[in-house]
Amino acid sequence: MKHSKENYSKEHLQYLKKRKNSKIVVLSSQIGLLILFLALWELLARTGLINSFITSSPSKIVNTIGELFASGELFMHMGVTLLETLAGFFIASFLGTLIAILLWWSETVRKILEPYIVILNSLPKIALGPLIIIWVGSGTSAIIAICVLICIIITIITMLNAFLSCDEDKILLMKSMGANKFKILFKLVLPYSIPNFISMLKINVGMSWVGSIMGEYLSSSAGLGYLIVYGSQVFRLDLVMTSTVLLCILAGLMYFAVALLEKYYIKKHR
Amino acid sequence: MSLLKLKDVSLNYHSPKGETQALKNISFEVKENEFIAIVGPSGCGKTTILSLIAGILKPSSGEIIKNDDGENFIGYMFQRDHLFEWRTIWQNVILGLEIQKKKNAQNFEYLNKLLQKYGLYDFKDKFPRELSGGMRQRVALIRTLALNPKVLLLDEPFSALDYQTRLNVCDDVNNIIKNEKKTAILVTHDISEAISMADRIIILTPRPAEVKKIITLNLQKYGTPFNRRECSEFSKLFNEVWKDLEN
Repeated sequence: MKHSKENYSKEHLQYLKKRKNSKIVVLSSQIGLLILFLALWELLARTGLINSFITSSPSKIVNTIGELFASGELFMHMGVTLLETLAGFFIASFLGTLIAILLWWSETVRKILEPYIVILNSLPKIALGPLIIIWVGSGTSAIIAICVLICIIITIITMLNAFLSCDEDKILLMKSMGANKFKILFKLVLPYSIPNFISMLKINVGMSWVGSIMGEYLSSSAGLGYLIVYGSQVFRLDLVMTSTVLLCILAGLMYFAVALLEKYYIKKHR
Repeated sequence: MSLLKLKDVSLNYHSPKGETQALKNISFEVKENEFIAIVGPSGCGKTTILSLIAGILKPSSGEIIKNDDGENFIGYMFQRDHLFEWRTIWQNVILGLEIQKKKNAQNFEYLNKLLQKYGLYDFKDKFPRELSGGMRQRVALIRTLALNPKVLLLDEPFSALDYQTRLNVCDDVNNIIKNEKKTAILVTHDISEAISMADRIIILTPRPAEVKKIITLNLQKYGTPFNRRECSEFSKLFNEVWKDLEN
């Protein structure tokens, strides 16, 4: 139904207003809650009710960010971690999907590898961290490898399940039109799985940050994970808190980017 | 001359628990432009016969003779329309042409004509979710027709629709099949649907399915399936088929 705004009934205008109002209430409450939390934190720290040496405070965090920025370290540390995370995220998502395609393609290979994948999935991947550092060498490449390891198994499982959930009758339809497996994959199974692919990316945003920070805990000389470990060792909790806040912002932005991609897809197809 | 002939076709299913005979010595012929309905108790193997004709399954014994050497002998239509939600109506109907690399002006013109004729042209660039159930089923039929098959295999194509839509789509589909001069084999458990559409009804026994009886109908004079449901012979035929299915 296409109506220009002038044609809306009074009732509909009221409905729209109500909708808009409820949106405003939610958004302002969200912002208000954040401000309240920060203000309370700052107040308690300043009045000495909580020990700001342990809990830090918003103003101290802002100061620390300023110091890091002045010394040029801010973007360096953020950049290092972001790069590791993005590399791990893209390699795991791409490689995992590729492996899932291979497993979808051959039922025999799928059956052979199933127990291995199940066990790898339940294994805490971080346990392999020390081994990876020895194999790949410490530093960025090891951290990316850990990140990939943490994301890839769940990527394979999610995507394989998505591929296998494709309707048998749709495959039969393709076959009755003379499609080979290659065409079934590209014209049916892959496009059908795009919504699952996007939710897999959303899961991987979180997982890849776990991977890169865990990796940095194990071995690193730069990055936000490094700052957290360093800060806690020298008891500069301002630094730990600051790094955590920066991490929140970066992870949030990355999730937002994927959510934007999803919105674009839905707008185009729904 | 018969277009398609099944000669003593049997089929066994194999599972770890053993072997089950699904079809036993099925024989029948299909003439060109004929509309055949296959009815039988549920689970008796009606769909299996279509899979055999489509060549998706191979018979354990017997022969299926196709009197045609062209490709795309058959076109399949399912219970649900199975339109691809991420493709527009146009992209959906050209799926078969895309698969067989036959996207050319001539085929596109044929499809455009079909869409126009059956009231879907204005919806070309819409997505399937924007169409009603009846329209979606019509799109599915046109997608099948794009490859110009001789025989249409209809596997309970109306059973997912509500009753009113079903009657309308039944008329639509019948109209399209007659207009485009196609041969059709309809599998259904709905006796009135079979009587309202078919020229001949093949009644199957419970598993292992055998041909119990073939009834020739002479209802073409009444026109559309909807009108055929109104005719005086209808209830008599219904009872006849019903009794054959019962015992």
